[in-house]
Amino acid sequence: MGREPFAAAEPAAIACHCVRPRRVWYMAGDPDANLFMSKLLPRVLVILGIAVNVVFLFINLRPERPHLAKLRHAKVLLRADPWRAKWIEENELKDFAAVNHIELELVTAASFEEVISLLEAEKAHPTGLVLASIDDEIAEELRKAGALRPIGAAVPQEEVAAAIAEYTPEAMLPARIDDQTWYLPRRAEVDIAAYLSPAVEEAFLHWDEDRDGITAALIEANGVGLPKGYALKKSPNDWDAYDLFVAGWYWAHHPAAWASPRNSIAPRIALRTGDGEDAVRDLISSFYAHGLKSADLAKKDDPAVLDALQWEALLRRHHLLAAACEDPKGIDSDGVNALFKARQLAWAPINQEDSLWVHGGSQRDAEPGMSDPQEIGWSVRPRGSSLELAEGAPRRPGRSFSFTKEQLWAVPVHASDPKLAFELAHFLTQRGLQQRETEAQGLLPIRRDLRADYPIVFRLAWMQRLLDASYRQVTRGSGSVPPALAYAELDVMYAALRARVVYGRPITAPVTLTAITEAVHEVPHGK
Amino acid sequence: MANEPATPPPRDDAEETKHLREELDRRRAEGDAREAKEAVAEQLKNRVALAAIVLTTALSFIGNIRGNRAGAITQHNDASTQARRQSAELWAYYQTKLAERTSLELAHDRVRLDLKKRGLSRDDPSIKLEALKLTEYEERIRDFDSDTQQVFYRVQDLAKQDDAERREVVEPARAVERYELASKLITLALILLSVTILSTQLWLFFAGLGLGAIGVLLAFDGYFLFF
Repeated sequence: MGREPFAAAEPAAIACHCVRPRRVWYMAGDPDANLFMSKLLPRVLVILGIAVNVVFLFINLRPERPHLAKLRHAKVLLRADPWRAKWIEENELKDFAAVNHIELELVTAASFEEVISLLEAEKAHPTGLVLASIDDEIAEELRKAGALRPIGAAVPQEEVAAAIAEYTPEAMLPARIDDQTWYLPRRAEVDIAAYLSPAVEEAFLHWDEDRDGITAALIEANGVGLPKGYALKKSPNDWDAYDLFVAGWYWAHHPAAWASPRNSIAPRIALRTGDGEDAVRDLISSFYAHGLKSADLAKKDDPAVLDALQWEALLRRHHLLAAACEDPKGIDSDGVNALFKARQLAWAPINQEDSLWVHGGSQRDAEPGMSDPQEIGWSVRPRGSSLELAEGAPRRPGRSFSFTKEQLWAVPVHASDPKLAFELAHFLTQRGLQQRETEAQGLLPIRRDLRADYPIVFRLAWMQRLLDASYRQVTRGSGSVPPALAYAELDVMYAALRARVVYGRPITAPVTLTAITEAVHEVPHGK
Repeated sequence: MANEPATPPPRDDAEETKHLREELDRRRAEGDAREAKEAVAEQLKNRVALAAIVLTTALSFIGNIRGNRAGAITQHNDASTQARRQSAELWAYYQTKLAERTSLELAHDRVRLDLKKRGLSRDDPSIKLEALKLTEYEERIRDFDSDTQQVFYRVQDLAKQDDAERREVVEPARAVERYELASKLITLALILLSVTILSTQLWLFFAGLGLGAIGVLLAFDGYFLFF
């Protein structure tokens, strides 16, 4: 019986010893179910099977992926001039738009002030802005105004962590607030110095001819003259405030074969002056170079502030600064760059982006740069050092210092697709694109891999020199602009102070430390 | 013996008839059961065959499309490799040019240092040859600069192409990954369906059908890249 499974079973139950009665419920019982299972279902399955295969057949005719979703429209806000905006659109945004089936519109702003107003307007009336490039100085203001949302909130944390690991720790500093990733770094800049090699060579070879004049000028300011055993240092990377003064003196008193017009005599140093953003940043960084601490930022009579102002007053007193620096409105970075590009200067403060513009860059369609650009050299900013001497050496030695400026990718608070914003920001800072952006537009890469490999990746000799000086500056002395500068309106206060103390007094006014201190005290508090 | 009645006892006849009838019924029932079993097995076989045809055809199409995507990956990878190779060759050329330029610069500096040591300026009429050489060196250095600049532009284009080609690989690679998984699932489904015919286990049929359906869905995701 055991081997005869159907012998003693009920007919419905013995249909199969494997196919148990409950499995063949459709074979008996409800006639409608029977009809469905035996006739209709196979037909449905046949039709479905044919349909599936027909679909696969059609896929085979056009195997690349279609974009089923409707073409999305998104806007990206960027502070850039038309040339840079066009480059970014063609080389970076187009790729992302094609893959993600998005129509990306680039909204450009001429300044970060305009970026602020556009983001505030976006907060009130969203227009489809998904991503905006802001700078670290305005980030906090926008964040507190509720115009932004954390960029990392819309994506899984492991994805954010993986992205963060690609950036340098310094670049991530302003991007992470209260354990949240508010921004992704976009690019960084640090102010360094540019010089013309033949000018430095000439000054090094011949400055001694002017030793008497230089000493007399310095005695007038510090009562001593040059530091004991002074000699102009060979490399601008080792220069301090004395070296800049000595070289500037030489350049301003001798015809320059390397300058335009050839063999002309003129001041060959320019500093950014006035109350513009770059000028104020330069001024405050010179205070830090002379030893100012952030805690003393509001003390306008701090020795570091006085030292920096005294040096600038001394340069002006002896006509070592380009005439444009005297302009009541001052001269901004564009003005200084234009003078340097025209070979009218021998030394000027500059950042990476402007360096490319002055040099001519490495792009086929870039604006032509300076003639004989191979003569441009880059170095760190001169070390601060007090004019006042003690036992033949500067009483208050300083350091080389410069502010770093970082641009960040931020997401507007009402951005329709924050995940897309994160993906786009991450895409735009990938290795290849950042490398090309550095070569095309000039910046300090914020990626770990590019920072580690820059001598290998950037193979143009001049670009390596530029990046060498930039990273050297970061190592020797750099930092973010203190937020208090803008909040407490110290930037306005110091711009006004310089205008009064350095450029507001008669050119023949004494430049001793006492005179400068008095001039500072004469300026009403808060002005 | 002749006088004895030959008829079997009527009770026995009835019992035998009853047994025969029972036997007949049993055999009929067995026959019905066998027929029912065969009908079910036949129906199962038909369905397995149908499912197998659908899945095999799908598998074939998926194989083709996977091949196409894998081909696209190879094509982009080849283009990327070619761009990298050309770029490396151009860099080698660039370096050679740079070495030539450096030797000219050294020669230029040597003449300048010599003049400096002798206290002569470049415009001095007694050193016409040196002045001529200096000018020539300067011109050639300038030419080298513009030549190498062109080489660099080309290298930049190739680097850009390399980068773009490498990005082009990402999407087909995602598709291939899904097509491969789909092929494996459908193959497994076909194996289960084959076993169903041998074992006539209905659950195996449904398991095969389920796996096949997942495979087909995964293949569609390979195309549309929903997730």
